[in-house]
Amino acid sequence: MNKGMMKYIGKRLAISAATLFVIILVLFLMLKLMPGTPFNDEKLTEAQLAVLMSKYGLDQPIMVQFWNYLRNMLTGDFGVSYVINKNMNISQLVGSAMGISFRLGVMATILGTVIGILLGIVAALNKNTWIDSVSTIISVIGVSIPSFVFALLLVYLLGARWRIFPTQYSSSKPFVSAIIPVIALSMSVIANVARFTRTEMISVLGSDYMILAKAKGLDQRTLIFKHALRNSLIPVITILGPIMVNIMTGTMVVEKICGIPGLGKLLISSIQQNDYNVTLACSFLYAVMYIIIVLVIDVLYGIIDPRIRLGKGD
Amino acid sequence: MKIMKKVLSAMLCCAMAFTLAACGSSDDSASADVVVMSENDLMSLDSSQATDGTSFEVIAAFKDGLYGYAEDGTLTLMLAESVEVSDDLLTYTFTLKDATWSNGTAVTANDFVYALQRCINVGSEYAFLLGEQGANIVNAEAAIAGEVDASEIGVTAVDDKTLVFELASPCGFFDKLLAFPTFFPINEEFAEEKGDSYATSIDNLLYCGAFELTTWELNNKVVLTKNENYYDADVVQVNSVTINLAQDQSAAALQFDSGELDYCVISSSLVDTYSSNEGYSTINNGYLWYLYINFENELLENENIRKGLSAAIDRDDLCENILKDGSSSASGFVPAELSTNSDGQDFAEACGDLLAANEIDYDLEKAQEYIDAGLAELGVDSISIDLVYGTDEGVNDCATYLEQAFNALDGVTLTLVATNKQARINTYLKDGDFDLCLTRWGPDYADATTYLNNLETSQIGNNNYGCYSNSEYDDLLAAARSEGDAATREGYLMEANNILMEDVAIVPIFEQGQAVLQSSSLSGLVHNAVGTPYIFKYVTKS
Repeated sequence: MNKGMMKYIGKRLAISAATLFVIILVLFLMLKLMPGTPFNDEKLTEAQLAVLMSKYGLDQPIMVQFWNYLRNMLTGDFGVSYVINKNMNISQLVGSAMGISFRLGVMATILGTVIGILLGIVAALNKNTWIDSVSTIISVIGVSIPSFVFALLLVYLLGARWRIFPTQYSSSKPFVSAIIPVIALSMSVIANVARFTRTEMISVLGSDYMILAKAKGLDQRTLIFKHALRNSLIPVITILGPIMVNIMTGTMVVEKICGIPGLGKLLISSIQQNDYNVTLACSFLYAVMYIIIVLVIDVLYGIIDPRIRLGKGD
Repeated sequence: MKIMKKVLSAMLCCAMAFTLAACGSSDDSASADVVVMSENDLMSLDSSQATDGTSFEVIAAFKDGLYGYAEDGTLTLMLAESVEVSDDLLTYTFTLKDATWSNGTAVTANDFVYALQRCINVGSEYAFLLGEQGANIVNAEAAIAGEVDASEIGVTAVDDKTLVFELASPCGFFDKLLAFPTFFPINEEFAEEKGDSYATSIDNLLYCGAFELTTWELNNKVVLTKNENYYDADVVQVNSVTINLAQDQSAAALQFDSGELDYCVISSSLVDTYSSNEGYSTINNGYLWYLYINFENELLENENIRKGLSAAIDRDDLCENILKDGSSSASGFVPAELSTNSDGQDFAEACGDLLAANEIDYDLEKAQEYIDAGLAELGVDSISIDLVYGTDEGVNDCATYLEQAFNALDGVTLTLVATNKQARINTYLKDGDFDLCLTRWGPDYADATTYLNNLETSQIGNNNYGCYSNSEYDDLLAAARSEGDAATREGYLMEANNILMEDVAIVPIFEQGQAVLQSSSLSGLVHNAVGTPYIFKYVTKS
């Protein structure tokens, strides 16, 4: 890795840290501005509420609370849950949810990308034929139908009706029971990747250097996989980052349908119940994931396409 | 080819052997595994801090109290061998059974004393059950207020087997309170050793109930496995009970279809699909939905206006055609199946239809007459009022129904204010910023006072959000509180319940039901409308 690249990554990391600080501050303030407290039971009297607020330090001035939170966070202490799993350590709560979401997210992204690229190549190579039309239809369906509809359909058909796979995720059968949610989640990835690959592939196939390569007598395989595909993949890689983060953040309904104890489900219930620490930790984690993935994609970008220079001091 | 045939036949033999083995075990209920769903997550395993139904179910499965539920749902002694009650009904002396915690130590009287003191010390939301609103244990109210130390409350361990409760006034439902998980024992030495991590994982917990908690996957499931060391282990007929946590109702119904689930609740949107299923039934889940009326609002201070609003609601139509989930129309502030009077009659049934008795049941013509009279008294042609409701509380259809019903009255304009539960309570109710508010109350214990106490004048600033006040009502509740004779006490409470409807202090709407699917092989599941929703101890699976 050259010096310029190192400097670039260093600069990006510094910006990321500043971004994270702002995200935490904004989130913290916004959560405190939400109506109510984590203790929303109608049956709580004012006196009991005061006891609970003071127990968790929620009666202190907001900036003192923020400072305490930030200080603890830097030592890896994200606090405890007030509502969802009372008094449980956030790292334990979020850690277990993140592991599952991350695993399913990666599986769905890989599956979706592989199928999407293949579909895109096939469509591009058979432009304006029925194969291309079928691929386009699949893409449109994948983009326009939300993943939870696929999940419901698959649970109904493969789970309840034909009983091929379990209807619900089970940690004792982590692979078999993950098949339905992974397929459902990968549908939008397939669609997006296929569309991008097809468009890029068609434009690359028509470019001058491809005609030259063809004229030089390169065989079809080398032509497609070594020259055309490599150049077509650049825009695909740029969308993979957001796709992966979206899969991990936007899967709440699929998680609910398939009974997956993931991060999306946890985040939504923490927001609904004002469980500040859980919401903060989940959002922080999403921000970190997003920043890391975008950074990795940027670096990959430079590696794949040497034309994209990260100019000195840039 | 020959090898293939051999492999095939070997596989077939294996399959048949498995099938036969499965047939054999299906008769043996003790090895059966039951799977049920819960709509909600498990929030706490600490009996002194738990506040939700799912947590209560799990706690009641791995821990017993002095009282618990028999197979027919009636109250019975559990960890207590016997009880002696003093003549003035103020001292209860319990003798404990021989029972052990999962670490081998004995369950002692001190475990109960510690649990109740802990409940006050940690600021538990249910600590009020020890005070005047509940058992009224000596010094408990002062301890909750922080005026005396929790160790001074009237619960003493005379020796390992003898536990004494001293009450400040007779409590007609003390036995029912003792079946509530807040009153369950906690082993002091163990809890103190674990500190803040007590009850946050299955290893930081002790068991003395019918089951042990062997798996807890956060936000996913818990597995309760039969406790072989349980003093009443012979009664437990299944190997394990798995509870799927926070499960989607549609997904649960599909799982029920596939035979992977033995019991689930379903939403009213699924009722039409499943109502012909042989496992379909409805249960009463104990909640009463009603309208809080803001008595600070001069329009609603008018009794005729309040009567008109109540008489405009066709509750039967709402329950049968809109809600369709087994909900039934409410006829007073205390719902049915909550408590039984000393003569064996249901409290709500004994009160009768208080809406009809006070002429505020559905009658559109009468409703219009009330409104016209109210408008004349107020000297106005029309009134505009708001109705606040939470869109995340499953009552959107009900709110829309009320909007139509009230707007059908000449001279009344109702506007719906949609918000969420948090804001409904904290922004609207607590600040008194509402005219009408669609709300619910779930009972904490099986006695009418769990509802009636809320509308006492002293509760203004707490749960009496509408600021209703009637001294006659307050006097009746006070009299009931110090009354030792059950029948007389019930008389006071019934009269108080009637006053609420005479005054239209609140407008009762419906008693919430729940549509459920139960597999034909499952039986013995005890359901309670109050306290612990399900008791798994007696379940069998054929």
